[in-house]
Amino acid sequence: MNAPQQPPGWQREGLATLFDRRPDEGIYRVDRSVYTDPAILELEMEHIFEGSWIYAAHESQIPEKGDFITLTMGRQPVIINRGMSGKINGFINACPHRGARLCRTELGNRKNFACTYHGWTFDSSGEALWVQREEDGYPQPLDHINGVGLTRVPRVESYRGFIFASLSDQVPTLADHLLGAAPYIDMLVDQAPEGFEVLKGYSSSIYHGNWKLMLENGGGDGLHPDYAHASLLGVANRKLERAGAVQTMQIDKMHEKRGGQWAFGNGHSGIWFNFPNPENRPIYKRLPELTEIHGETKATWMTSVFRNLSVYPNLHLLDQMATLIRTFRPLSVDRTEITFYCIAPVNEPRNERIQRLRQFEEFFAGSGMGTPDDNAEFEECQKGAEGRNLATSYIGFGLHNRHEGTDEVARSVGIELAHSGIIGYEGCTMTQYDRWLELLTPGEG
Amino acid sequence: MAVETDFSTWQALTGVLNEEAAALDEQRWDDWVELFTDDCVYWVQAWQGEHELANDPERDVSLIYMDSKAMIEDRLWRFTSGTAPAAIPLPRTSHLVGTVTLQALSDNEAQLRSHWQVAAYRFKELTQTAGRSDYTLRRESGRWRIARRRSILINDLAQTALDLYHL
Repeated sequence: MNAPQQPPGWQREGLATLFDRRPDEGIYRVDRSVYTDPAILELEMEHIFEGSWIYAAHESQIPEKGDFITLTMGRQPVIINRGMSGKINGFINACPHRGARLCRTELGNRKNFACTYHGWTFDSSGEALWVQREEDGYPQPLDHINGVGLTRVPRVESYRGFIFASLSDQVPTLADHLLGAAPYIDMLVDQAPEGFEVLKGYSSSIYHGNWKLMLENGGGDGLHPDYAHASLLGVANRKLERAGAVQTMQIDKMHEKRGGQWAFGNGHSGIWFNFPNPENRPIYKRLPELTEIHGETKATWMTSVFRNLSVYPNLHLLDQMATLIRTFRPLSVDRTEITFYCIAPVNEPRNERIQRLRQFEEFFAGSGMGTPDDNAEFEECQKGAEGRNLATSYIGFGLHNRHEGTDEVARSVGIELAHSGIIGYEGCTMTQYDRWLELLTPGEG
Repeated sequence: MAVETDFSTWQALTGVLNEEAAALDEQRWDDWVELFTDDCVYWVQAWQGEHELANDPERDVSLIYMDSKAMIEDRLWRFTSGTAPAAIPLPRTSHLVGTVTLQALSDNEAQLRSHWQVAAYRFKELTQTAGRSDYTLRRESGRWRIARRRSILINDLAQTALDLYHL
């Protein structure tokens, strides 16, 4: 059988023509077919979601030996488990025999994986334990690891509790992938002496739009809150005078605060600005002890600064209105699933936990008052992208006066930058597409 | 375990659930919000896997947790303000409430369980939500109001938005 043909228009130079990239002139235009062309999604699946590092899970989701969760990496069903040895593994969630999925629930605990179709059974490290009528049916001996064992996800590694995985082994080290995103993750994890954990109760939401619309929004759209989230800002104002209300972290007029937007390289990016009301964050109560451990600058960053981190291509680690993991994946070129996990310090005091939960629920997940408005706008962008007489998006804000390399603020917290700009800096989107081109056109440039 | 009562009490109690559904569908927002007590708890639980729920709203995440009528009014203000893209336009909705049982009854407090399905129609697409709710109704100055509604939504995969009119 012939291999599927790649669409002829989207080979290497073809993809580069989707972008008019003239940042010094303040011009960056993206052809909207990146959102609508199913052939492009196929390339993204192969080279990004199945060909590079993506975020998979948090270690606290599988704390005990035998714990597993199931997920989809690109198009492929995957099990992430903590084996009986304690090691974290990734396997293709399919029986080597005829391909039936071994684990069919979102999570669970299993010492062994038994296929319910024909009974083949595997231990928690993927080795075949039992193959039906093995001696009758197959030349002996069968190789229970490489022959009929589970297929491993080639790379599974953690950084500070966050598990990343790659379905290709042709990837750099995780550290070389994360770059400046790593110290940004440190600023979150170091807040809690016993570490962070994913809280019980997670949910997902679907929007009818391309996955990159979510990526772009969380990875650097500092221009939308005053408009898309005007209703949430209104709710925040309604609560200001109300005794006992859990207050909302203020995000109106971000650009009037001290802040900026950062591109870390490899498509990762972040937004930061000084919260006007840091005292309303649960972690703020920890400022004195964090100052003692980490010094004033870092402790202030941990407790009082709005921080969005976008790790290309599918993780937003947000420490801002609330503190959460937001991960997302394409279901089709115009349909995306987002999953939300609220995270908290292990053994967090009760009152701080309640405040944390209420702030999370207010904004995030499909049942919050922020996420639905983002989803609605992504859907409108998707519909608008079909307006092919207006084929490009104009994503040039702040490009002409960007700053190349690390700036002083980033250096003060030990972070290396590729480039940066003012709040709203759309170089954060440009850096995502720079990475996109690198991954989709390997060997180019 | 269901308890018995007389027909007029039954009508008064189930009438609150019916009016809640009708007021939402007919967008009689003022009538709807008046059904809640000032200190009401409105809780929609989140799931942890297929059949386990996150049960402690002070330790675990909920889909929605509000412990005052003021918080319900905030949400109502938001989705009727014309400033929330997810609610421009609002969907048309139709609530079906059924299999209502009276679980407990005293002079001024009643507990009921209902099952419900809600059809929502927006941009010419139909979405459905389904679940069950445990209600505590309290009689205040002769009128039964909702003091607590704990809901379990079976399809918690929110499609674009999940708000109070979907429940």
